[in-house]
Amino acid sequence: MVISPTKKDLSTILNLLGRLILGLSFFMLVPLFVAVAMAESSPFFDFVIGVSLSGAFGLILLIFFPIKNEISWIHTFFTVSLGWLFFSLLGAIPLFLSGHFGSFLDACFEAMSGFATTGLILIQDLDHLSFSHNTWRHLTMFIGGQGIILASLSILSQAKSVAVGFYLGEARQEKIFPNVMGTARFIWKVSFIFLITGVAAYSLILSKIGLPILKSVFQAFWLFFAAFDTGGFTPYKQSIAYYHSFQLEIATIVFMILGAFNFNLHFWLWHKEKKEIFKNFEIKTFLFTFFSLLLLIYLPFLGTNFTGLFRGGFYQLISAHTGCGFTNLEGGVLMGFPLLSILAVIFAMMIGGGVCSTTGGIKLMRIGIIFKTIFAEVKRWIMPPNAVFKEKYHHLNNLLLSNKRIKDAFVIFILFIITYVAGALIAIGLGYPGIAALFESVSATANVGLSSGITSPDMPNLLKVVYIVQMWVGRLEFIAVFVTLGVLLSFFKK
Amino acid sequence: MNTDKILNNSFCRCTQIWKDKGALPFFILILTFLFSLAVYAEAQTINLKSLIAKPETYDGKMVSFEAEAIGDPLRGKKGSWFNVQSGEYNMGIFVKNQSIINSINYWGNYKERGDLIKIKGIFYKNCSVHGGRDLHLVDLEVVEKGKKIKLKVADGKKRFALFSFVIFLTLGSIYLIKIRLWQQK
Repeated sequence: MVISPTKKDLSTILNLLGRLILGLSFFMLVPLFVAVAMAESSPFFDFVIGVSLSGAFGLILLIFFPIKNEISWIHTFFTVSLGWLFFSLLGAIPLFLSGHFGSFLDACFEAMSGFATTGLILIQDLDHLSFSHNTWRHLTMFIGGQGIILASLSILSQAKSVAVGFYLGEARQEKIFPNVMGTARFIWKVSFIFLITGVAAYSLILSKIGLPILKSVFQAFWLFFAAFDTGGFTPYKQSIAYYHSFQLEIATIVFMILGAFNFNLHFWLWHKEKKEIFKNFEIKTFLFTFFSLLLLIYLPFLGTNFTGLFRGGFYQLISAHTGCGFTNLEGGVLMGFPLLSILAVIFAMMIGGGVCSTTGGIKLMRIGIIFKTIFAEVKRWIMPPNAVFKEKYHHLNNLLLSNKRIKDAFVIFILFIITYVAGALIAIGLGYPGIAALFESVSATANVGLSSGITSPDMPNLLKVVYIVQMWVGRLEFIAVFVTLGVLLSFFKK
Repeated sequence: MNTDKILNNSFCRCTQIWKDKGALPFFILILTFLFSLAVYAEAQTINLKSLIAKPETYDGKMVSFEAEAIGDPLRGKKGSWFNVQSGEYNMGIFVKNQSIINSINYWGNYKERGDLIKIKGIFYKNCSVHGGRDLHLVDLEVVEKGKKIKLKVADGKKRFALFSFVIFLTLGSIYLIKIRLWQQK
């Protein structure tokens, strides 16, 4: 039996959505103030329009659609799914008004890419973009990365019981505290400490290489948002390659990895047991997949010097595996790599980082469980027929490899693979080469942002829409989206 | 044996011609022609798009192209860096001598159009020193001075901003009144 919503349910959902949109409007005040501070007149009006339209829309929903029944998980799943779409539509308004986009669809693409912490870009003449618009682009990643829902809840929450559903709806299966608001507070606290550290480090490096102080601080904030939230936007078309700084590359690696760690693991390391880092299942899986893929990416590069190896392989692999999407290579160089190296980057993007982190992709936990299940099956075949054994793994506690965990891991794994392949087939159908099509499809779905060159303002609109959908479903890990679509269908069938 | 004889004869004849004062201007003419050819080949004038599209063609060769200086000059190890843009294409330029880039006055950003410069340098598809694609600058010439961009806000945009802000304030007031009424109930 499918749960079918009533009109009362829809009213409740739209009310919750209104609260989130009001939160978005509040966030747009940040670039508005930047526009005032930097004397950017045209962007100032862009953000006045953005704040007003999104705020007005949120208020309309709040006024006309009151909460009519008790809030349940179905309302929150619905709100999460729709939230991302509406955020992209409304967040695109000031971007489109900047005049740096060929169409509103392009601006929506950019906004979705930011909110989903992907990093694929359709912006034109990025190097001449204003401070305030750049602040907004990077802030979208911070909002999306720290969780639209957690962010808005911290500002607007009146109904704390809603929080759990919101939290689970945006594909964060693990709670750190029994109370999700406690989890939200912890995530904010950790993020704030890292923000201070990251911005200080980046500012120092940037001013050392010659950027003026004000620019250094602004760009330090932007780069921190992009690295820690594994988003991958940068204020320059050349990405990290613009800075030509080895120190900055190292500093971005540190925050990319920290952002890709499970927040539960952060909590454990901060408050409980430091040794967890050596025992943790996700960390072990990361080390295994990373070094295996590093070998694969390096094989064609044997004989080159250290700088070549670091720039050519190591940085791209870290960026792909953590789902960040920064690159220290000039445009087009990555796709000039040998096929084996490109495949290694694609596999790294497919896997992604930790569960309950800001990364996308299949996630380390699920890949680890799938590997462990395969090994367990092999063991079962070579053991005596009547032998009984149970597979365990360590993630904060010793956990049993149960059938439910295996099933959950395989379902998400298969859904990701289907989406990766489907996106690639559509791009191939539109005339793009196979490997580039697969690369871009994986990058969009796993919210990475490295590009094979397909993503450009000239690409067909159909493909832009396909990538927007892929970024959306990839960020929410399918389930919230499927629940929404299923329930919507049942509502219209009635 | 015959080959040796021919070679010896040719060598002798060449030496004879070289010794002959009358042939010297002829040699100078040939050398001048070859040298000017070399200079021409030294700096193939191209555009950034074709350089990026066919990096293997220009790898290790002296190239010359025009592009806009963007961002800021950056300090690097044993030299400086700056970046240029031409259309949708960008590239990092390495400079050993910082003073060369002092001739650039405008660096492209939101408020300024950067100087249009003609760059001459050696292009590396995969630079062995810096580990990536770059160009080592030899010479730089400002072709067109940059300028401050006149930033005008369209009247329509101002009016629409005011209109949407009024609507937002009105709706906000209605919502606050509604909340008050609910609380009174």
